[in-house]
Amino acid sequence: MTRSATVRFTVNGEETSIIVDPLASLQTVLREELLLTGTKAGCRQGGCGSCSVLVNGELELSCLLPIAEVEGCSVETIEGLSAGEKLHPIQTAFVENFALQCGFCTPGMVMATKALLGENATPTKDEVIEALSGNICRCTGYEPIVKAVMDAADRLKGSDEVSLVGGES
Amino acid sequence: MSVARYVAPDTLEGIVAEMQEQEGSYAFMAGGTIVQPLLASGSWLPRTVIGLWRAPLGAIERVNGDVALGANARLRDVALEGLPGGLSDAARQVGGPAVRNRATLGGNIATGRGDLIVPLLALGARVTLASTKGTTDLSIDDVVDGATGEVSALAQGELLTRVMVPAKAERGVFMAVGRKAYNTPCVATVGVVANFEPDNRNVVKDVRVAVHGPQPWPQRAGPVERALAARELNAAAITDAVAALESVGDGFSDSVASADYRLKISGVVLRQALEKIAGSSRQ
Amino acid sequence: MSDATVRVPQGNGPVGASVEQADARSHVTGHTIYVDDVQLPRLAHMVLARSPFPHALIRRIDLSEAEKVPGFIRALTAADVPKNIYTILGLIGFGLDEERALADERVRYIGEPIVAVIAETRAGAAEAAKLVRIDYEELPAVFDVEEALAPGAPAVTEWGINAFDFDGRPFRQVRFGDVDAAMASADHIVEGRYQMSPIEHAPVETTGCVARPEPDGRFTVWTNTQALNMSLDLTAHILQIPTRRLRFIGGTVGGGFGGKVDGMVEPLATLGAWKTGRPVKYVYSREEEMVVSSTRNGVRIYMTDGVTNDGVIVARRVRSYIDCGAYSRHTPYAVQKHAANLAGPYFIPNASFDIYCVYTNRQPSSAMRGFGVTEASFAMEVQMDRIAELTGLDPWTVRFRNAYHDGDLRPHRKPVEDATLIEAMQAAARLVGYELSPELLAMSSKPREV
Repeated sequence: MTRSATVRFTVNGEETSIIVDPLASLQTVLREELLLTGTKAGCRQGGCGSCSVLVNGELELSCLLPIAEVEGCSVETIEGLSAGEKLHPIQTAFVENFALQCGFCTPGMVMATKALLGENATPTKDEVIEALSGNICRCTGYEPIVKAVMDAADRLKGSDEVSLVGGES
Repeated sequence: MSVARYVAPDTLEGIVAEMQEQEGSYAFMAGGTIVQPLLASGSWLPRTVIGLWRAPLGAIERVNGDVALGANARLRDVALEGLPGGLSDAARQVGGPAVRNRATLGGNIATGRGDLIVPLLALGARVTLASTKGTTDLSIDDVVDGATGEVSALAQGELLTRVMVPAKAERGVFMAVGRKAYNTPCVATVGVVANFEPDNRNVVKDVRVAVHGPQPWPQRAGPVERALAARELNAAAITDAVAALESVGDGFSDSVASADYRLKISGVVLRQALEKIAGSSRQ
Repeated sequence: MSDATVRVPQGNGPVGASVEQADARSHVTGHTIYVDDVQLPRLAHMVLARSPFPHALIRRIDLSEAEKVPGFIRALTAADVPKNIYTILGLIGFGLDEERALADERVRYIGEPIVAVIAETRAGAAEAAKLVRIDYEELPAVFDVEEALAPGAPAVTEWGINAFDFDGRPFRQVRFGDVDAAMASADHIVEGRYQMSPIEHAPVETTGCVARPEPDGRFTVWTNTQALNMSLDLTAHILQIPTRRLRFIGGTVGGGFGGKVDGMVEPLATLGAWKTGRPVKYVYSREEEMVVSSTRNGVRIYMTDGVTNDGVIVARRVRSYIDCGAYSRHTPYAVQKHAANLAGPYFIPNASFDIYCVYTNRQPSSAMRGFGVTEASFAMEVQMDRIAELTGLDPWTVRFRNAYHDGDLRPHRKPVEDATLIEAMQAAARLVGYELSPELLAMSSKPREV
């Protein structure tokens, strides 16, 4: 067994400290230690994007990140976006634009959207496609997702929404 | 069975000290985009994993007309530097944004198959390696064996720490076939960097052509370079250069493309790259 | 611009209204529980040791190295399976008991399951599965549908012929009218060879389930099957237990498209829970989803049409080879649908179809999005365009002139009811702004005048 290490980081604003195999992926730690199963496991090899999270505000594939490298970092997962019944504007845009069917790629798509809009508040359609290029969807054909992202950008225009964890309107 | 130990030294000296102590039963991991899935699936279980991420090896600095890129430079950052010879273009089309936030230049080279090797070959990059015996500088040409595809230099306990490329190239281009944003993988890549005679701006003084298509690894395309050297870069020269590609290899088949198609596409991309160079002004 | 409008009937409830997807909020907040999200105390993990060969005899299975892996709990082989058959269509009396839940003497495709290893962790189960030592005797394999039917081909099936039996014939047959005479009278013969490769569904969520033994002797199974009742019945059948001992929880599927209808994982996971007394999770890796899980059939279609100068098809002859892979699963049903749809929405007065379900040593195929029919549509629509090219007519005219009407007999002798192809094409032409000729505009699906 790999010698365990203590790793401290914050998840959705909450400080967390665990003793764990330092090479366990952030994905495994989120899903199996912290029981935050909103972050999905579609391939465990960085190919599908369903494990996408934000680490220090940047988009990362949690299946590729050894937990040791998350020490001291701030992690945002899909669970951190909504506050009780209240959806984040990105989530509302996805719902209203029918940007999901089976929903399995959705958390990853939403996090990729959050990362994009955090860096570029007025993306073009091509920039949206580029930003989502690491996230695979097998159900929708992507068009409604792109539409939802453009809609989310409109909803967020002029607000500080995207930088808030567990955002409120 | 599992990895026994994970260490992530803060300095290059610390990394080299670990290399000394572990003596060959270790693996490096920088961004983790390649190594982490292998560890997680149990496909590769070295006794120790040495994490490179925390050592200060990620800087990109301009030094006397050259650009020094630390091995930990993220592809995201390489993409934004506006580097010549299509190096930044190549970085921009690897994986997706999340992969580029983590994948490193050093890791890309260490695979022996990374997309950045083609533009680095075309640029004539120089590479610094650190080992328990000190540091060595060598040409990128010596890192990947063009005949076999082996990453010979890095196989024996050496760590790539820095890559140097010129800040400007007279005319250079990188082209890839594969619509990355639409999740289709790359079929073939070509990189060309050419210098022209001061007295006759149409005549090639020297040229470096790198391809990944005729063989399953990236390499210099010697026959293509010879077909272009000291010639005017006109339609006839381009046709000869594309024909010379067949001496480089027969293409290779995988789940993405057949050997025939891959070789043909390599020729098409080479032609497009050369036509772009012929038509472009100084970079 | 077209003047086509969509008429929304009044008083029809939500028809025409925009209704929020029932599970959208749950999906978009990450709260939906998919199979791999199910976490239970004392959860054990199942990983399969699978055949690396497309065709081989199993000579010996040695578990001694696997058993030494820390966290190893138990390994299941064919001998542990109460009724070691697996054929999904067997449940409705249509298929053959030709496939095993765990292979015993022979494997017929790369990835065929042989030993189910259960361990404390997923990594431990995977490591132990790799250490299962199996001695094989490799056999010749066949991968092409026509080669598989040629004399001397390696026999994939137990009964030696690489074709599923349909009422005493190695193919499903449709005969209608007099094809030979009609072909002889035709002005043109149009021949085509059409082929579709197998397609992998590649859902983002891989196939899987969790089975938990309950104190009262029942089993609770969370599964992402698309066919909950079939999976339950199959599990009961293979484990030889009454269905009332099974409680299957499903309906949350991270992409199916027909790829999660085979019920491959529930019987083994439930058996594992039974034998160990532990909850068992059995979820395919991405590699297993690509290499092992079923695909859409590969198919090769030879289609010959006899056509008049006016572009009317007077006869159609088809020979189709549908590749079911190593075991037939849902393919006989695909053959039925294929045979029933080879005329498409067109009237073909003389038809002769021979549709084979061919066994090869590839991974077994199964359902996917209109399987059997999609392939027929692809072939015949290309054929229609080729008829148009040949006769110099435009593609609309060819289709209008061949469109079926109410009352026409289809080659399998079912009378057409509620035909609407002509009206649909007229509406489509309006929508895209294409001007149809008066002849086509005057047509309707009403029964032909005799």
